[in-house]
Amino acid sequence: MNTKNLTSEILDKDTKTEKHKIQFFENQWIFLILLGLILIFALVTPPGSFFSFRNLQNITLDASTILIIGSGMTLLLIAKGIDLSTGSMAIFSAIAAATIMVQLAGTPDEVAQFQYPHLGIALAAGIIVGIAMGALWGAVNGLLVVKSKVPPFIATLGTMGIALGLAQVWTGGINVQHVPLPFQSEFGLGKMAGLIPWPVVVAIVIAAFFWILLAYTKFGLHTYAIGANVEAARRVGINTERHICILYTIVGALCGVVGILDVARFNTASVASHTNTPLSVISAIIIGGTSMHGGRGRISGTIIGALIQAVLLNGFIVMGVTPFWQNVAVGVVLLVAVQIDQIRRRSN
Amino acid sequence: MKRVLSLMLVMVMSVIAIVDIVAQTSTAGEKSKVAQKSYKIVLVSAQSSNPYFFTINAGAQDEAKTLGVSVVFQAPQANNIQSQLTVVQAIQATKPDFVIIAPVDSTGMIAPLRMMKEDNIPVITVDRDVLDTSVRLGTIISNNKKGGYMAAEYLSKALGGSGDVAYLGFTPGIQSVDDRHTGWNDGLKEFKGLRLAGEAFETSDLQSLTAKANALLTRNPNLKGIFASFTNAVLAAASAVKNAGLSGKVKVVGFDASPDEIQALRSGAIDALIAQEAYTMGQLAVRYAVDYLDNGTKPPDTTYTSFIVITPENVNSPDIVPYIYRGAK
Repeated sequence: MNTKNLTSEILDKDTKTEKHKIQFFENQWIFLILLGLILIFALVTPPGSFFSFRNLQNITLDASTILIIGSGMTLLLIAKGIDLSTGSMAIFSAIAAATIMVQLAGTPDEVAQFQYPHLGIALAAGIIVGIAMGALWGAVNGLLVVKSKVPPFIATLGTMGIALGLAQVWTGGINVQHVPLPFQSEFGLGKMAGLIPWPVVVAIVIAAFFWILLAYTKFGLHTYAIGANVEAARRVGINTERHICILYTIVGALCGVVGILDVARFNTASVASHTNTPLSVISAIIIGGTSMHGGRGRISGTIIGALIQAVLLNGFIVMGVTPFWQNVAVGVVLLVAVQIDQIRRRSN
Repeated sequence: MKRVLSLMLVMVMSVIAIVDIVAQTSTAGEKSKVAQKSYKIVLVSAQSSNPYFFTINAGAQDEAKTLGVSVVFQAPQANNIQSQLTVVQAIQATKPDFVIIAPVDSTGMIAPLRMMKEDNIPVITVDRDVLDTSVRLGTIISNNKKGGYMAAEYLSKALGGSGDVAYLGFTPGIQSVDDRHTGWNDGLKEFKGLRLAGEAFETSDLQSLTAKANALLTRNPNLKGIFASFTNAVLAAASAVKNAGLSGKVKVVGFDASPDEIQALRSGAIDALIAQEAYTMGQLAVRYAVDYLDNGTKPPDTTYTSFIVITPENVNSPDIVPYIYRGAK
């Protein structure tokens, strides 16, 4: 029994091409909105302020966190899952990574004096531990959802609090001090070829990976199938429980990556960060055209959604708009996107 | 139809934003030109909704009007490094003449301030400082150690020299509040009649703070005084004392003078508030900025502003009113 053929039949060749056509059209649509926003901001701000290479570079930097987590989360949303604990997982991973780096780089006195005799191994260990911690929390989420049948919203709400609380217990609420500076100067603030900030490079690589995974592999196909009709997917032979668990673990690992990038960019790990991350990630994905009802979505949409949010935030600050209006604007855009989603669903 | 709707929405948003900016700039009005140029200064706060920072802004705006320069107020979406970094990066794009900032984190904000320095944008920090002082010209902060000491001093006087006291503060990590704790402990060493019965630390979540305040009261039935070292702790302590029916029997001394703290003071739940000179901070910052831009005069490395003790007796006096923190407009 060839699973792939049966899954394709489940998705029904015709509606699949039809769906892809609609999604492609919508993504063109969202892309035009992105370009429109950039154009409007470029026109209403002093020349060379919003529309400058440096500022556009900063926008991509702002969007990179959302995009990294969003890439994995897109798959999760397509499979009708959701994860609210992304911010807490990123915080926990950041603290784990930073603590390891500080402990291994040298003795407390050396590190306080900016001497790092074991820099290489400290950084490597920190990165591995950070991602592992994230993946671990993700697996916890996955097992909770799959084994104990707790709705994903509730399960991840629970781990959000637990992970954050444990992070606070671990650090006593104080930021991790004495993180090796080279990690920040060479990587966190560095640029590839002097042009693209490394965090943006990481985001692009990850987005590309998940784009290919979702659009061209059996794994991606199964993800769509589970989102479209989980019962049918199971009967066709897809191990839906394992698949869903893997998706949550992936999201956790990606939060680990974000945690490490935080340590690289800010030279510290703080429990106060990522308060808006879970909702920003979900907003970006929805704006990008993925439906909360599962079964449809593309990474290209998530990329555009993340950029739209970053452009709005940056553009309004450059314009000098009061901070409170910025919140209003971002909320309005989300509502418009959901409205379009509703119209789309009804017309199908 | 969807096409038209979405485009219309984007246009409506832009119009709203433009109207907002026009409204802001038009209030600048005529000014007596004291500064050499109409400099563009940006004030970045650490939180988006905190009367303390609005008061700093009020001082800055008034000074700006007098000197003929403009101050734009910006706040991060959330009280964390990522959010403030987004604001700082966007502001760099507007090429301001000067930036006044209350850094959200003393380590994490070093690199962004350094980037502004390399971009030749001068920076002063207010309310708190960063650990690497080379990235900013100077700092204007309250002498928080002195403020904590003053709290101990006030309680000692109010309790007739002796009694059990407790401390309710922010989890360690913010320089300004940590200094208040240090000053308080120094004060306790000197005013030996005060006995420290308990301490509790929490983040700014009001519910958790109130729970901790209740716990302090329950565990120490002989408690006579509480020092709450930041706004939400003060509100939590006031609420706990009122609920236990101990208003007046347990004296609460708090930091800061936000409108709700003043209300609690008037209602008798709080005995005294140690208000920071937030308005003065804003004024000084703009004055230093213009002086630097006009004449190249570097501000002092550290300028300490002082405190006003507000009690139910003086809360209505006209000298005290400027020190009460205000709202956004």
